[in-house]
Amino acid sequence: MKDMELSAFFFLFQEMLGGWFWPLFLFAVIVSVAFVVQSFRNRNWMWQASARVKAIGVSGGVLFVILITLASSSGFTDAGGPIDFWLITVLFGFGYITTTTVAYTVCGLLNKEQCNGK
Amino acid sequence: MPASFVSDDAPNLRRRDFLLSVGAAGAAGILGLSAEPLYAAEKTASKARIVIVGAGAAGLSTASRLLQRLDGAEITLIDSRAEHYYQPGFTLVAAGIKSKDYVISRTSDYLPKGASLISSSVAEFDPDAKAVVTDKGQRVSYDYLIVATGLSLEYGLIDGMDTSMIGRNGMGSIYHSPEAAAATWQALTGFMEQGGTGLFLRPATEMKCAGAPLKYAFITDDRLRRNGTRDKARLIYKAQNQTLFSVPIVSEKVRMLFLDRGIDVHYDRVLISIDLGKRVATFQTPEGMETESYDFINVVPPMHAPKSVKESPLSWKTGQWATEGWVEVDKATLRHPRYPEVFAVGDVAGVSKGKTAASVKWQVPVIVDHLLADIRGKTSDAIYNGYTSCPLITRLGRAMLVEFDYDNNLVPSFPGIIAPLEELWATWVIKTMGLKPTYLSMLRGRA
Ligand SMILES: Cc1cc2nc3c(=O)[nH]c(=O)nc-3n(C[C@H](O)[C@H](O)[C@H](O)COP(=O)(O)OP(=O)(O)OC[C@H]3O[C@@H](n4cnc5c(N)ncnc54)[C@H](O)[C@@H]3O)c2cc1C
Repeated sequence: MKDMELSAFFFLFQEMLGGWFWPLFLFAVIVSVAFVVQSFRNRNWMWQASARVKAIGVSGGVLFVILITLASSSGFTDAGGPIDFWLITVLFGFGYITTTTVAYTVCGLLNKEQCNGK
Repeated sequence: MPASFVSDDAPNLRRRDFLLSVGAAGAAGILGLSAEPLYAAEKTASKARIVIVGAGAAGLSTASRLLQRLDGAEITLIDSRAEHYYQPGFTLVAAGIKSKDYVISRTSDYLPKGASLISSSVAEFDPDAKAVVTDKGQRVSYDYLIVATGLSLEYGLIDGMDTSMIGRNGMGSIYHSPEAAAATWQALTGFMEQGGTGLFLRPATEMKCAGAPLKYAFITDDRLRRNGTRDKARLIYKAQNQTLFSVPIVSEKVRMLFLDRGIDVHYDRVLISIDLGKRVATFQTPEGMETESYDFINVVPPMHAPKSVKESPLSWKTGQWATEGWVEVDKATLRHPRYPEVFAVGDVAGVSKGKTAASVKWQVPVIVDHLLADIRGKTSDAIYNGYTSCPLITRLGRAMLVEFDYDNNLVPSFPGIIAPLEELWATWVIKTMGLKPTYLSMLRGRA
C-alpha cells in the first residue's frame, strides 16, 4: 500500500513540475552521485564544510522560503497556527540542505580548498 | 509525461515552479491519494459498452480509472465542450491572484488512450432502451451508463439577470465561466476604490462548492483592507436560510469570522430579481420581498441538473430534489435504484453532500468498483461516505481546510496537524500550489 501511495506522489510531482520534472530528477541523481563520490574521494564530510558553504546553505534556505511565499501569492505574516511555523522551518531546512549539498559537491569537485573546513 | 500540461497550462514555467511541489503533499491529502492499486490491479477482460455522459472532472477520471482496470471494453465519453475548466481556480481568478489561463485547458489533454469522445451533448436519456440520444440525433446504446454532466447554472431564474453584463456596473458572477471570474475581479477593483454596499449571497438550491460564496465575501473584505478602503464599504452576506454552511460547526465558525471582519449577515434571503441598471437586488424573505441597493454584488445563481437529465426517467421524481432534477441514486453506492446499470457521479448525483472536485475523487473509485464487480458477476462493498472538502479562504494568505461527510462529521485528512477550523497559511499553500496538480492527476486516474 505504501508503494501505491508513493507512485501517486510520483505522478503528482510530475503533474506539478511538468517539463521540469525529468531534468530536475536527473539533476538530483547527478548531484547525489557526485556528492557521494567527492565525499569519499576527499574524505571530507558535509558537516565539515566550510563556513562559506554553510553560509550559501543558509541563504538557500531563506531563498526557498521566500520563493514559496511568492509562488503561493502570500507572505510570512500570513502564518497563523503552529503548523505554519513548522512549515516555514521545514521549507528552510529543505532549502538549506539542498543548497549546502550542491555547494559542497561543486566545491569538492572543483577541489577548492576554501570550500571545505579542513 | 504528457506534455500537454506544460504547454497549455504553464507556458511560462519558471524554475520557481519547482517549489510548487511543497503544496503537493497537503493537496494530495485533501483529494485523497489513492490507497488502492493504480496499475498493479489485474485487468478484467470485457466487451462491455460503457457510456459516460459529461467529460468534466468526474467523467474524465472515471474513464481513466475504468481503462486501467478493463481490457477490451468500449468506453465512450460524450461532451460538446472542448475546453476543460479547472473550476476550483475560478475563485483565485476573481481574487486577482491568477489569470484566466490558469483555469482553462482542453478536454483532449486528459482523454485516456483507448476511450473515444463524441463531441455532442446528450439531449435525451432512454434508460428503458439502454440508450442516449445526442443533440445531433445520434443514438448511442450502452450496457452501463455513467451520468457525469455536472450541473446547470440557472441564471434565468433570477428576473432581470443578464450574464453578458457580468463585470459591468458593479455586477460580478464567479461561477459563470473563467471570463466571468476575471470580469468579476475587474468589477471588484472598481468597488475597492469607490466603496459602498457589497452584497454576497448563495442560492436556495443545492450548489457546487458551497464555500465559494463565503470565500468571496472574505476576499473582498481583505482586498478592501489592503487597499485602505474598508471603512468606505459595508459588506452584507445574504444567507439563503438560517445557516451560513450546511455543517453546523462550520456555520458557527463562519458566523464568528464574519463578526470579526465586520461582515453583516441577513438570514433567510434568496435573490429573485435584479435591476442591473439601477443596481438594486430583490430578495425573498419570510416576511415578503425586500430590496437592497448595491455597489457591488456577486451573483450566485440557482443550480439544477441539466435539462435532459432533469426531464429523464433517471431524476428524482419525488422529495426535495424533484424540482432540481438531480439523478436518483443510492447515497452509498451512487447506483440508480431502478436502473442498476446506471450510476451518477459528481455534481449531478442526487445526494445530500458531495458537489466538489474533492468528492469526485472519493466517488469515482466506488462506482468503478461496483461496475467491475458487476462485470465479474460479483458484488462490491465499496461505499461513498459523503466526503466533501472545500479549502475555505478567509483572507488572502489563509484558509480553513474544511472536510466533512454525510453526517456533518468533520473528517480531517491531517488530524492533529492541520486543524480544520483554524485559519492557516499551510492550508492556503495547499489551495494555491497543490490542489491543481492533484486535480489534474485525478483526471488521469493517477490520484
Ligand atoms: C467557483 C467555484 C469554486 C469551486 N471551488 C472548489 C474547491 O475549492 N474545491 C473543490 O473540490 N471543488 C470546487 N468546486 C467544484 C468543482 O469544480 C466541481 O464540483 C467539479 O468540477 C464537479 O465535476 P463534474 O464532473 O461533476 O462537473 P464538471 O466538471 O462541471 O463537468 C461536467 C461536464 O459535463 C458536460 N455536460 C453537461 N451537460 C451535458 C450533456 N447534456 N451532455 C453531455 N455533456 C454534458 C459539461 O460540458 C462538462 O464538461 C468549485 C466550483 C466553482 C464553480
